[in-house]
Amino acid sequence: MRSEKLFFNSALFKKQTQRFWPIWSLYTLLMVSIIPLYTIMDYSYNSHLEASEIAIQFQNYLIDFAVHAAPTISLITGLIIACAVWSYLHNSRSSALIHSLPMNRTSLFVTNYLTGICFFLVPNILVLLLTYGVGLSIGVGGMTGILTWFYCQTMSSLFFYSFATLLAFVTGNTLTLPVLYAIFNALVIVIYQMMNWVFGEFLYGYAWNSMSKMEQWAEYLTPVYAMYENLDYTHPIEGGMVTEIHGLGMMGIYALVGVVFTILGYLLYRRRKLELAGEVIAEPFLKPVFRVGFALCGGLAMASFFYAIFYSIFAGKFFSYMLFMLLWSAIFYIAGDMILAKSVKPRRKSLKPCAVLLVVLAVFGMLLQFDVFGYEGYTPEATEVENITITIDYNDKVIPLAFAPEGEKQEIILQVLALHEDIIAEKEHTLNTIKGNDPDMIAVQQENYANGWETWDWERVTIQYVLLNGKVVEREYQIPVTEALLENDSIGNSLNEFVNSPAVILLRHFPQADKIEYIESSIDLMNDNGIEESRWVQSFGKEASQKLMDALVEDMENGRIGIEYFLETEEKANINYENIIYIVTSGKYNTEEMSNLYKWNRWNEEEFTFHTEIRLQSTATATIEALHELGVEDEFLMTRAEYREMEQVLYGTYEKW
Amino acid sequence: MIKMQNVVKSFDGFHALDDFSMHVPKGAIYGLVGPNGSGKSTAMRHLTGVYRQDKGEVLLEGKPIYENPEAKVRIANIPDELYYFVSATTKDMMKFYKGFYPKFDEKRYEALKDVFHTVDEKRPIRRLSKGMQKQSAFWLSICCRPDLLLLDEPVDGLDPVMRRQVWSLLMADVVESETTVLVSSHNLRELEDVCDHVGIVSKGKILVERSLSELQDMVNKIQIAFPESVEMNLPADLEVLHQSKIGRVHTLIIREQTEIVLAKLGALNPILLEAIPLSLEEIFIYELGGEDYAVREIVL
Repeated sequence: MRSEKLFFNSALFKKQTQRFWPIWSLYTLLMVSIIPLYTIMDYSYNSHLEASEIAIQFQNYLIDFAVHAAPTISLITGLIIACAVWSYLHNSRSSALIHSLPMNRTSLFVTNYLTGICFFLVPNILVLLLTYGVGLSIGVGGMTGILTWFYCQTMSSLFFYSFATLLAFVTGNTLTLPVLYAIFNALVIVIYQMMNWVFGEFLYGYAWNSMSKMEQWAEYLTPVYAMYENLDYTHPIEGGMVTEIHGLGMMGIYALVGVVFTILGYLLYRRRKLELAGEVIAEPFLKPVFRVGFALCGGLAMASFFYAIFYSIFAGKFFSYMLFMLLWSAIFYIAGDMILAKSVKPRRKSLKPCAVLLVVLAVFGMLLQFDVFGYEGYTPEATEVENITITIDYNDKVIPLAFAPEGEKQEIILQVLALHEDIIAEKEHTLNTIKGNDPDMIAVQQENYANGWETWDWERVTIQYVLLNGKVVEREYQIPVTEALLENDSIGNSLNEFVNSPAVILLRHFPQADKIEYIESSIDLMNDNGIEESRWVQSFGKEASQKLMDALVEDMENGRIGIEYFLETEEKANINYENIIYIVTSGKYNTEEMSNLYKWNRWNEEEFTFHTEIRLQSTATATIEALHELGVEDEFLMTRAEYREMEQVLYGTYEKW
Repeated sequence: MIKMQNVVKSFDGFHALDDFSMHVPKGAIYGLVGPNGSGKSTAMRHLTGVYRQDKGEVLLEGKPIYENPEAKVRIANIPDELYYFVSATTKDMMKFYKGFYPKFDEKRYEALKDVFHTVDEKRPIRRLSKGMQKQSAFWLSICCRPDLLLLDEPVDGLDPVMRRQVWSLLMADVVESETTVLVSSHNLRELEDVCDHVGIVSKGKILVERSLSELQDMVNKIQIAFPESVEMNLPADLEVLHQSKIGRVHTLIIREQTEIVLAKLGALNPILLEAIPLSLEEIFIYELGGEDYAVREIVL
C-alpha cells in the first residue's frame, strides 16, 4: 500500500513477471544467442584475422543487426508482451479480480506498463553488458556497434509495445488485439496504395507520384516500413568500417510517439468500462468508427478486387466500380456490426446507418466523377508558375524548365500550359481510345508490327508545376500516338513538336550547361565479322569530349540530333543509329535541385556528376564530323535499319524494338 | 457502513440497477436476495470497485469506493465466478494478497490450515474441485482481516460440514472484529440462520430492506376460520399479499405487524385465529409475488 504513493505495486510486478516468465526468458535467450554468443562464435572462426578486421566485423555485425533486424524483432515482441501484460482486461473474471484489489487505475497502469518495459529493457541491458564484455575480451573496445543496437532495439520496442498497449485498451478481446495490431501496422500504406490506384484508374490526369508528400506520410504512418526504408548505414570502402548510420533520429521520434501512445492508452484505461471485457471494441465511442472504417476498407478492397477480376468487362467504367464499392461497403458494414454485437444474424438497427454511409459514398463518387472538385480541369495561370518539369515515360526523358534560360522560360511555360489545356480538352477521345472504343485506333492497333514497324503507341506524360506559393501540382496523361496523329493537329503532334524543339532538347541533355566544368564521354561502337557481332566502347578524354559536346550542341540547336520518334517506324530506323554517345559532366550544379529532379538515374549524388545518353542520328552532321576527327570510323557506326539487317543475317531474326 | 444511494447502472440501455438504494449497518450480516437477473451481482461489483456507477453514490463509511485504494483495502471479496492465475497455488495467492493487504494475517493463514485441511496449498487452485476452490477463496479472504466481506453465492459447492465451519468462522469475526458481511445467495434457509439484515432486490431496486426480525414481524401468515354462516370481511387497511382457503380455514399473508394484525382480525370474532411465523423463503416468495414474480401454475 505504501508503494501506492509511487504508483507502483511490487506484488503485482512480481506476479506478472512470474506469470509471464516464458516471454522474457525466451527473448533473453534469443538476444543472447544472436548477439554476444554469435560474436564469440564468429571470433572463434576468424581469430586468425588482423585485429582491425576483427574490430570491423564485430562493429559492422552489430550495426547491421541493429538497422535490419531489430525493428522486426521489436514488432513481434512488442505485441506479445502487450498481449500478456494486458490480458487481464480481456476477461471479465480476471479484470474483476485485479480491479477489486486495493489499487487505483493509475497504479495498475503504471505497474503493468513498466512490467512490460522490463520484459525487453532488462534483457537488452544484459545483452549490452555481455556484448561489451565479449568485445573487450577479443580486443574490440569501441561501443558504437553495441550502443547502436541497444538504441535501435530499445527505441523500436518502446514504440511497438506502446502501440500495442494503446490497442489493448481499444479492444476488449485478446484475440482481436493481434488482428488490430497487424491491420494498423499496415493500414495506412495499403489504403494509400489502393486509393492511389483508384484515383489513377478514374481521375483523368491523376499522377501516381502526385501525392509524394502524402506518400511520405503514409510511409511514416507505417512504422515498420519506414524503419525498413530509412534505417541504414554506409561504409564507403567495401568491407570497411561503417562510417554513417541513417535513421537514428527517426527512431527517437518513434519512441516519443510511443510515449504519446502510452499517455493516450492511460487516458483510455481510466475511463474503461470493465463490463466491456470480451467485446471486440471496448470503447463505445470507437464502435461507430470501427463500423465505418471496416465498411470503407472492406468495400474498397473487395470493389478493387472484383473490378480487377472483371477488368475486361468493366475497364474504366466508374459507375460499375461504384456499384461494387456500394455493395461491398454495405456487406462489410453489416458484418462489422455483427462482429461488434457478437451475433451471427444481421441486426435491423444497422440498416439505417449503413444506408446513410452508402448515400455519402455515392455522393462523393458523383462529385469525383463530375469533377466537382476541379481536379481534372485544373491548369495554373502562367503568372502563378515558378517552374515546370515534364517527364515522358517516367524518368526516361526529364525536361527541367527550372534550368531554362530566362528569356526562353516564359515561352516554354506558355507552350506547356497550352499543351496541357489541349490534353484536358481531348479527355473523352483519349479515354475512348484507352478503353478501346475508338474504331480508327482499333484498326491502327491491329496493323501494329504487321510490316515489322510500329503503327501506334502510348506516351506517358507527367507535368509537374511548382507554383510561386510553393505548392506542387502534378498531372499524368497517356497520349495516343499514331502516324496520322503525329502529322495532323492532335495532342500527340503538339507533344512531339514540344519535345523535339531545340531548346527542349538542350534542356533534356545539358541542364545547367553554363555550369559545366568537366566532361568525359564515350560511344558504343559495333561491327560484325559475318559470324558474330562485336561491341565495344571508345572513351574520350577531356579535350576530345569538349569537342564532341560542342558538335552535339550545334546539332541540337539546329534540330539535327536528340529528336525523339514516338513510333518505331522505318524512317526512325534509317535515321537513328544503334550507337549511343555517353556524356558525363560535373560542375557548379545546384545539387539539391539535381537530386530532386533526377531521382533514379542520371544524377550521381556521391560523385556530383550528371549522365546523359544521346543516340547518334544520321542528321547530326556536326557530331558525325567530330567523331571522324576523333578517329571513329564509319564502319563502326550503324543505323538501326542496318543493325536489323545484320541481325537478320547473323541470327535469322531481329528483335522488335 | 455501506451506503448505496440512488445508484443507476445501465448496460446497452438495460437498467441493471435502477435507483438502487441499500444501507448496511456496521457489524451486520446482510443477506441480499432476489430473483435471477435482479441486480445483486451488479451491486456487489460496485461495492468491490470494479464497476463505476452511472449515477448515485457507493460509499464505505462515507467515502467512495471506486478508485479509492484506502477503501478497497478494507474490503475482501469472493465473487460467484472465481478466477485464479494459471498454475497459482493457494500459497502463491497468499503471497500475492499479502502484497496488497497490510492487515493480511499470515499466522491466521497457518492456523487455518487445519480447518481447510483438504486443500493442498501447493496444488494449483485451478486443478482443485469447485468446492476446494471455494474453500481456498474463503481461506485467503478471511486472512485479509477485512472490515467488509462481500460474498456472492459463498457456500455453493461446499459440503455441509465445511459450510458450518465457514459460517462459524465468519460469525466469530463479526463478533470479535465487527466485520460486516454482505452475502448474496439463493439459499434462503441458510441465510435465515446467519443473517440479521435482509434486502430483497427486484428489477434493479431494493424492494424491502429490514432487519430479519423486523421483516419477520412485518409479514405474517395468519390462519383464520369463521362459523359456517359467517363470511369473512377483511379490514380494507390490511395489505394482503396472498390469500387461500382450504375448507373453512383461510390462510392469509399480510404485511403488517403481528400485534396489529391479530387485533384487527380478532375484532371479527373468528373461531380460529393463529399467527404463524414465515420463513425468509416464504417472505421472499410472497413479496415478489407482488412484483409479478410468483410461482405460476402451468398446464402442459
